[in-house]
Amino acid sequence: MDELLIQDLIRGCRKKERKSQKGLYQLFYSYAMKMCIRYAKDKEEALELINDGFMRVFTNIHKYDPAKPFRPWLATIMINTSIDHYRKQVKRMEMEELNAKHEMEDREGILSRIHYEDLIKLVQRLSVAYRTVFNLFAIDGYSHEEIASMLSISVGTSKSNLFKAREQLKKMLNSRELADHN
Amino acid sequence: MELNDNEFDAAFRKKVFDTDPQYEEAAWDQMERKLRRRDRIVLMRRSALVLLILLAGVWGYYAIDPFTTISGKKIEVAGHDGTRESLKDKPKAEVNAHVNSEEAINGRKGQKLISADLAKLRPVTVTGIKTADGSGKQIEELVAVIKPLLPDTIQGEKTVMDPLRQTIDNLPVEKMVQQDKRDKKAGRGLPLSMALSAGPEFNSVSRVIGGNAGFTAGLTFGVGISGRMDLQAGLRYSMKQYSAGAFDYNPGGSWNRSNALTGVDASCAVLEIPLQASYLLTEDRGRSIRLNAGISSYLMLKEDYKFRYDYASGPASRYLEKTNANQHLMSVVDLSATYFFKVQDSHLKLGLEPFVKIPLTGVGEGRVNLKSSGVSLKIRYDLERKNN
Repeated sequence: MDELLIQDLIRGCRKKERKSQKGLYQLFYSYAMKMCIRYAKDKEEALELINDGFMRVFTNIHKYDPAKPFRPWLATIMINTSIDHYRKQVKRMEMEELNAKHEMEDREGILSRIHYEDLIKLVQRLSVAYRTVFNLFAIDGYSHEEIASMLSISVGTSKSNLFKAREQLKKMLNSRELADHN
Repeated sequence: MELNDNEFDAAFRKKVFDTDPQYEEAAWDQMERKLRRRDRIVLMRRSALVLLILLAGVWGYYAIDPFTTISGKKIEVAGHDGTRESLKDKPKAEVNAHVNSEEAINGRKGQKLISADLAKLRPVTVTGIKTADGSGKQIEELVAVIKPLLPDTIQGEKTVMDPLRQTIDNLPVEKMVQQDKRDKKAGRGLPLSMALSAGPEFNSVSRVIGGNAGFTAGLTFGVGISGRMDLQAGLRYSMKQYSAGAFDYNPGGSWNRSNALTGVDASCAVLEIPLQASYLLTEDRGRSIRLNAGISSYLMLKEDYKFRYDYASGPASRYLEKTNANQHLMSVVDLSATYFFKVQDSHLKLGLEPFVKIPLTGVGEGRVNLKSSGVSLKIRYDLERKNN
């Protein structure tokens, strides 16, 4: 990605130029969508997260240090926006309990055969608590300690939610694979 | 073969990051609506803040004790023994005894009382008094009249009486006391004004004066913050027509200028929110001149653009329409002067107002350096007549 173009757009955003804001949005829409779609229950919610995130980007653009790469700064904002969204949701519901055991096994190649959209749909079928922990740990690379702090939960809950999320995903993948074979 | 947890996560991660969702214009439309909504909120917050500051200023101005000068000095009255007393600190009855000498002068209380009052008035020292009309001039003139009438220059009471009666008849101190009573009861009236203005406006990217003709009309409200200074705010609607060269039109962002583009014709409906200070330069019975300076916010209600291309090699003209797409907060400098004619026996003034508007930032979709000039016809109505 052209770093000069990014810096030019950021300069325009600092001056609140709508054209530059659009340019930056256009440039990083795909990246932001990839992040937010995993935390959202559907595409509409993902778009809401993206726009909330970009609103933070535009209003806090003066805090961005041009000496550092823009993408990680944007990623942090998008993840924080997603976590704020998660917090709003969990206010309305309790964290889910760990329950039944699952003995379904993964099969090599399932993940490589499944389409991106279908994979995202599987993630979105997870509960918000499982989905958020799974995304933060498995995709965005946060540790359980960091996740516990970000979500105001215990490390144990983070681990158990991750375990449950994986189990459910594997189960869904297996079910899907079986259905395809039949 | 089974995947362990780490492999499962890695496979998942790879799948997620290998795909690039496509950009959708509809997503930006939503984002833009969100940004506009926020801009409006910011504008309203700032306007409310300015209004609050204005109200605080007006309140502060009218809360100042009319007996207190700007420098904090008070009107002082000294007796024969040389002790100075603040007129304000005296009980009202006593103040009236000092200043309301009319009864005494009319002979109802005898000439001894007149002499006593004269003696009391003699050492009055007045410096920078704020009088009821705020000018302090009447007091100074009065002192100048009283001084020659001091006892050591008095030859006989009869010769003193006539000019003194006249002088005291005009004495504004009583007026001040009465004004003070009224103020205490109802507070001082605000010197508010409202003005309607309308007229042709000329817009140009290259020149400060002149350009393509449009029009402007608006309503402003003013509040006097001192004898000569008003603060004014309001709303103006203007229709701005202009032509810009290909290089004057710079939307920024991902805009790619075609080499065949020769220029842009624009027609924009703009809601202007001016905030300005107005200084009364000179005034006589029939006419006055005010100098105005301030800053305006532009809310671009509707923008229509026609992109002109080189006839020989370029494409056909392209059209672009934008609605509520651009707002420029506090970004245009307003300079004007108003020549008012007073309409006799009314609070109305008719005025002619030449003006220029110079942007501090690019205006509209193309961020053009759009200057405006013109002459407005103005009708001003003073909601409370000033004493001057």
